[in-house]
Amino acid sequence: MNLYLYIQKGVTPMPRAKFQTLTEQMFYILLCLKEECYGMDILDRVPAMTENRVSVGSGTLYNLLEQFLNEGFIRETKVEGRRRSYILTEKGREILKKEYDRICAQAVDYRRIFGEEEGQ
Amino acid sequence: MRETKRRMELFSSYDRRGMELHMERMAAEGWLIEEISTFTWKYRRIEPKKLHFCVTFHPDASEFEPEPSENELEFEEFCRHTGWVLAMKRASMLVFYNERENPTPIETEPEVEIDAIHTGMVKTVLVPYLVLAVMALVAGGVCLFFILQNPAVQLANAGAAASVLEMGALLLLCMVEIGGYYLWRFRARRAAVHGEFLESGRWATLFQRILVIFVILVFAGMLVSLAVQSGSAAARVLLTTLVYAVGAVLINGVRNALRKRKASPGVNKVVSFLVGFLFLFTLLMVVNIGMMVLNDTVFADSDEESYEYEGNTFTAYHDELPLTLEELLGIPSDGYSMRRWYEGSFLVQRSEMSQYPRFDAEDFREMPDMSYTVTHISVPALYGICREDLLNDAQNTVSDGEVIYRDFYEPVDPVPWGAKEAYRRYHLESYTNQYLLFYSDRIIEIRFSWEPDEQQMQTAAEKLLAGQ
Repeated sequence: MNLYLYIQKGVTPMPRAKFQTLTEQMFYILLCLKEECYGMDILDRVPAMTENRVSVGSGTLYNLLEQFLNEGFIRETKVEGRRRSYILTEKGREILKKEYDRICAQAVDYRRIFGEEEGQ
Repeated sequence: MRETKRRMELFSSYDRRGMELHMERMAAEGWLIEEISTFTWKYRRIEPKKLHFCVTFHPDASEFEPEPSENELEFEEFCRHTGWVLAMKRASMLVFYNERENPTPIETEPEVEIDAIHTGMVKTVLVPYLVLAVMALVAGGVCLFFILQNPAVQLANAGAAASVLEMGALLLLCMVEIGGYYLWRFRARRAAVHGEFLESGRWATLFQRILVIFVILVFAGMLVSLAVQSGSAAARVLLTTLVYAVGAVLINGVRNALRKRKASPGVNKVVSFLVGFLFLFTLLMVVNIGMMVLNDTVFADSDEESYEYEGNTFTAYHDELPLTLEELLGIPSDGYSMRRWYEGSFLVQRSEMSQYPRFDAEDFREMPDMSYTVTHISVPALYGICREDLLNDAQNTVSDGEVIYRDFYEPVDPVPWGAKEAYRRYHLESYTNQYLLFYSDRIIEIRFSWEPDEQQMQTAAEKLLAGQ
């Protein structure tokens, strides 16, 4: 991939198709929405769920919720003033499961290479 | 003690990190950013403290919207939840600050951040820069076209020469902003694949500052050049620039006032445009009329006098000339109008001089006259196009492949003139007493009302070359 292709043909240097795999933050945002939840509450839930290992920025969450809505991964359930709540859709559940399977496959591969004990 | 202060700050539009660090430094000194307007940034006094800043974009935010949209308010609420408070916004650019020691950044996913920035950048920065680039290209192109049509004259016009340079610098600035942003976006997306954030282009801010200093220097140089030639021309340029600057501030003020009065974006755009247009139109008219009055009073040439002849009023000039008829023919200068007109830039300087009999002089029809122009080329690379331009001043008129009107310069012996090349103009049916002379860094056009002898040619050349 080079700059020429990017400028001339609009080819971007991102090899990964959107949402084919999920980043850690995307994964936990969707996980939070297994149950109906206010968008803003996700900002607290993700660090709580991961023992502060993962935090999501407010701008990132705001934009990702919009993208998840557009992709049909989540749907809006309630609007109270500016507070909107969301829940995972079937499509969202599928993409989450696919990501889980991918992570599991990685774990299996790791164990196969390093052995069961080391993997634990 | 002042509670607010304004500063001129120069940052590339996509140097977000540079802006954030600058705002952090200002907050540590006790000044919090409150507003970014056309020419200045406004700060308000606070207790000096360590604040974190974040410059980001929201696609709904606009300079014309009377109220923030629900989406925008929701975005602000999200940010507030993690301690980020909105300090100010300009168009779709939002500036937040956070007092927490280690706040969670507003953007934690590089790919998402790049997309969010792009939407805001296109609307707020890239489109305006593109429009500005097209305007600079057209304005600079028109100036360049006229210069190339008649370089020997136009390059001596400080305004025209400076305009091409300034429009060129403006075009370069726009291209660097647009191109630099896309280059950053390309690299940022590549870094984002590995989950890394790429800092925005700090070098673009440095480049912008250098260009702005260059533009200011060119403008100052143009003003000095004009002021040397004529206070009137310098005053006109200064006043016109002032009108445009006040116009920009006025349009900004009208837009803000209408937004505060909750005018719709459409009404705001139309009214702001009309007010700006009418203001500029009226004020530029006032400047032009004012300059005409000033030219006749404050800037009037003190070496001129009016005289009457057969019921008409004429002007006679008494400028000092490097070459006079007295030196060539021994004729006293009484009864003559002697005029010198100078125009010059740092590229080319031109002096047009003439000595004509006054109409009220006795036997003025029998009195000899002459006129000459000395073009001094300061930049050797421009000598060639000036030479061609002046040689092409005389051109045959051809119709159906046949010369119907003869007008050309024919080479003559340059030795009497002490020149590298000399030409004599042939016009209609005969040779005229008009010569074109080429020296190492200057070109002289000279016309006599009689045929000069070799001694007179030599004297004229010596005087004119010594007189520059």
